Amino acid sequence: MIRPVTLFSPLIGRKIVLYDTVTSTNQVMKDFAGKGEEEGLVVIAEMQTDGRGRRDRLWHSPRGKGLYVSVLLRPPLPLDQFGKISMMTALALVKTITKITRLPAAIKWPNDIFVQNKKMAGILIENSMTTTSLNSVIVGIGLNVNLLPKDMPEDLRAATTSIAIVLGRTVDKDEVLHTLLKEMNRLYYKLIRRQDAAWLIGAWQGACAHMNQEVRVSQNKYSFEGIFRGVDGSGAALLELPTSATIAIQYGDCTLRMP
Amino acid sequence: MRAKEIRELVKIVEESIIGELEITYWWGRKIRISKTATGGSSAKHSGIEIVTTSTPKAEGHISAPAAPVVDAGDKSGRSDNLLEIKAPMVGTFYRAPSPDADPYIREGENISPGKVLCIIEAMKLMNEIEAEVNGKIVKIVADNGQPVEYNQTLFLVEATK
Repeated sequence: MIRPVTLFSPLIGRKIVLYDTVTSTNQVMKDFAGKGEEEGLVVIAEMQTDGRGRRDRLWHSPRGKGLYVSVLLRPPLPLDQFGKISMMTALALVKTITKITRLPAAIKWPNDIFVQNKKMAGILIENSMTTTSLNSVIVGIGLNVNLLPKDMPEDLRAATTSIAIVLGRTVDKDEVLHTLLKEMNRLYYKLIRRQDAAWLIGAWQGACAHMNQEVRVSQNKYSFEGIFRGVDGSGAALLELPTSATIAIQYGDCTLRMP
Repeated sequence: MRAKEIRELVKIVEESIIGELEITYWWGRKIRISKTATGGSSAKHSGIEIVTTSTPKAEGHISAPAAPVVDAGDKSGRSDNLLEIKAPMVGTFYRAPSPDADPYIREGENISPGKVLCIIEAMKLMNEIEAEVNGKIVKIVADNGQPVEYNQTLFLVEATK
């Protein structure tokens, strides 16, 4: 740990703990969450040795180049509604990237963030719960800020981008963080305060990269092809099948490809 | 609708976590395929129920039980303090934190409140499910990497004081 910092922030980021090197910020946050830390805690690291995506996929996290952030939340939502946190975080990233780069950013279902058709940010949310009640929601965010192609593994270069790559110059990482936390605070408050999900669905769909396009969603051994018609309030994908039936896809080893 | 089409739809529902699929045609014909838990006291089976209607009333009703997915039977040794730990959401059931890692828990092992039992993943949300009771895992009912439905039994636990 470098130092804990206290900021004047309404909730998310009112306490921030900075690290130099961690295995992953989510892992560190799990320990904090287990010790009963309050909602809003933010963990940031300069470098992750074991940054992860889902099911152990590596998130490349070179020193000082990216934003590696975890946020602790304890939202008063039903256990099957945490997709809203994923939607909200994706939206906060889209807003942040757009503000900093002046370029449109888009969400690929469920929550990858793309700029100029290349991945710029990823989200991994890890919840801890019993079958009846929530302990914690840990929102892990990896945002490529000042990574250049030379900082990326060769096999990722074609499909990955960063703020520095699209702008042609490096940016102040703290400014990016500040913008991100501000957006997350704003959206989280709205999410908790508002009963309806229409605004969230509308905003998410407005930022989606593939609305009303033909897509394929893979689930384990099966895949569905159809027209992506958006999401429902829980974040499930609404796919219109060739039979004209629309199904909600909520789970799975979901990859989404343009056929 | 031809039998072949119905079979294809049944297959889609069967292999997914969709609980129910309903298609209504403009001329009023309706087909509904829903997964239901059927069976008596001794065993639970996952089945597929197909209802087709051309009017608001049910016209045909075919019940086609599929291969048992869940067998929480345990006919003989069922004791009073056997608890079912059920899925709080739909998603993919994982027994280990990552593909190469050891499972969180094995049959016969003891659990206590706070012990992580499994992950259910939905929409890239990794949901760690923790135990609420002291006891012993008698049976792991759900299969690793397979979809589970809301309220589906995941574990059978012999509770201790």
